[in-house]
Amino acid sequence: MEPERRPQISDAAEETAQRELPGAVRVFFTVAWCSFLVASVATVLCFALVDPAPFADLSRTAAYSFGFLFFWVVCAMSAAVTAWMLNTPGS
Amino acid sequence: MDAEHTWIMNTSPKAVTETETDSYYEAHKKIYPREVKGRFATLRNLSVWVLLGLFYGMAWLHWNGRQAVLFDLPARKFYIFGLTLWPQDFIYLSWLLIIAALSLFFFTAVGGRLWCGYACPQTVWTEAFLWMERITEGDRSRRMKLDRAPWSLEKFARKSAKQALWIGFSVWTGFTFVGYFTDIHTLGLEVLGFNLGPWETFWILFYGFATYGNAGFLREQVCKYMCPYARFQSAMFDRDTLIITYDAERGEPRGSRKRGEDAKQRGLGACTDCTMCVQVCPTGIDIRKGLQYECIACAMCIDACDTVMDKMDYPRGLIRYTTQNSLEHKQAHVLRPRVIIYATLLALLTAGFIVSLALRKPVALDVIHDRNTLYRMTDDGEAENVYQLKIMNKDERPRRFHVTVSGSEDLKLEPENVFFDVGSGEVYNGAVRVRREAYEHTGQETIRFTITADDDPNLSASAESRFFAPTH
Repeated sequence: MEPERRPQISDAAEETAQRELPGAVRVFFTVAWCSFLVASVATVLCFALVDPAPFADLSRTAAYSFGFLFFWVVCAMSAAVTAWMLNTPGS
Repeated sequence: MDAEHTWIMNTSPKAVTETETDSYYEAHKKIYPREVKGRFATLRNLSVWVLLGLFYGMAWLHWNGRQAVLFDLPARKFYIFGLTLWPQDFIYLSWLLIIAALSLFFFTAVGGRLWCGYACPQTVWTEAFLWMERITEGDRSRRMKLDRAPWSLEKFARKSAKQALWIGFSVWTGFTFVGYFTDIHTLGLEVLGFNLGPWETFWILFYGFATYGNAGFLREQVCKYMCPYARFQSAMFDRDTLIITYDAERGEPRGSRKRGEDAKQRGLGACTDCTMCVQVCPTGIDIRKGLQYECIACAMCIDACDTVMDKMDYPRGLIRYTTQNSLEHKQAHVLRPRVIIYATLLALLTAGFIVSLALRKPVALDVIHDRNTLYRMTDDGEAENVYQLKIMNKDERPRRFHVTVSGSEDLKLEPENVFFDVGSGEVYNGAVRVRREAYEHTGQETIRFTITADDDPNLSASAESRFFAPTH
């Protein structure tokens, strides 16, 4: 680690192409991420209280997985509507 | 909230970038952190080794003939060494999560973002991925040069080698992760035999992909944009919290100088403006601009600066762990209401957790009165009630339980001696009948069922229910 050459703080900034995601993609990832977090919590709570085995003609692993994906989709719908509402002009 | 506090509190990324782009997100610049050696780098490497070692190693550990740590979701049982937890013990999991959250508050109040810098999986895996990047693509300047260079055979070879290492490591991570939820030996055999179930395959790839994306590409952006803790950690900060900070009083005015040159004569402070602190920063900030929300307190800038200070024969600590109070030459307080309250709550909750876990009974009883008939009169003129007993044996071995009932004197079980054999981890449903003379004056009463293990009189559980009889 030799501080031999003069500072090049902006090396990275200047010399790397800047990648900026388009707005819709950002909203998509924000929605996906936040709903993922909440869906994880919801899945744990739900299946700690309810054993899916007697209700579904599935293995528990499959039921848990479907449950999680279901929660993810539902949470994502809520988050997506929220994001859409906030982005509506005039709000 | 005092005014000085606001510069820490203002942690929203919007505040930083909105003026330029009216966007919540900054244009992303790839960060090439320079490798650094020093006290804190060693500490973090140690932490990375220990934590990754625990994650990858513990899954293979055995305890009493089964996997030592297994959150057996298909069987709805959690094994943690000698302990078996059931869905009914969910309270312990919640309790543990509360303890974990409170510890995070406590450590943040005392030591700042220690979690982020040394223990967060995001940091730990990013370090591992950076290491793989270094051994394939070289150090910081080589990596930057490689990215700028046009595609060549060497660039292709280096990038492919990196990707191969990253993907291999990610898949192994996904496999290990799933191995905490289904038996890892079985899982390993299934992988080798190409007969892995669809959901296991899905989750291995899902978790592997998440590791690859977070540690390989997103890196500091996870901390900046995705992490909830990064957003609220400043609420636990006060003027006595350890922060990593640049001593502007000593460092400024910054400027380059030759070694041995008298800085004072030139009117310079201790900062040589070598920008090492910026080059090593994994989140790409300049610590000399003051504490910023992007700072994950990894202390790499401390190591980098100390190395330069050593070379210049200056005292260390131009960038150091300190508190706002001591930086301003004020009295520092380790014990303060915030810390005392967090510590007390933490101690109480932890003690309560340990005690209740130690006193946890491996047997539980639930009694449900027969729903169809309140009572039935026998030929002998006695009232008879029927109950469903739900006995749960949370013990590691099968038990035989003896049922007794208490209430008014002539209350008796029919037949008198009732035993139930309950397998390990089984929830047993058994019906019992209770009889009594139908007195005219007392119609119904509360009765208590008790089950006692045949081979251990101390192992028992009881539950209450109602006994019904005619009242006319």
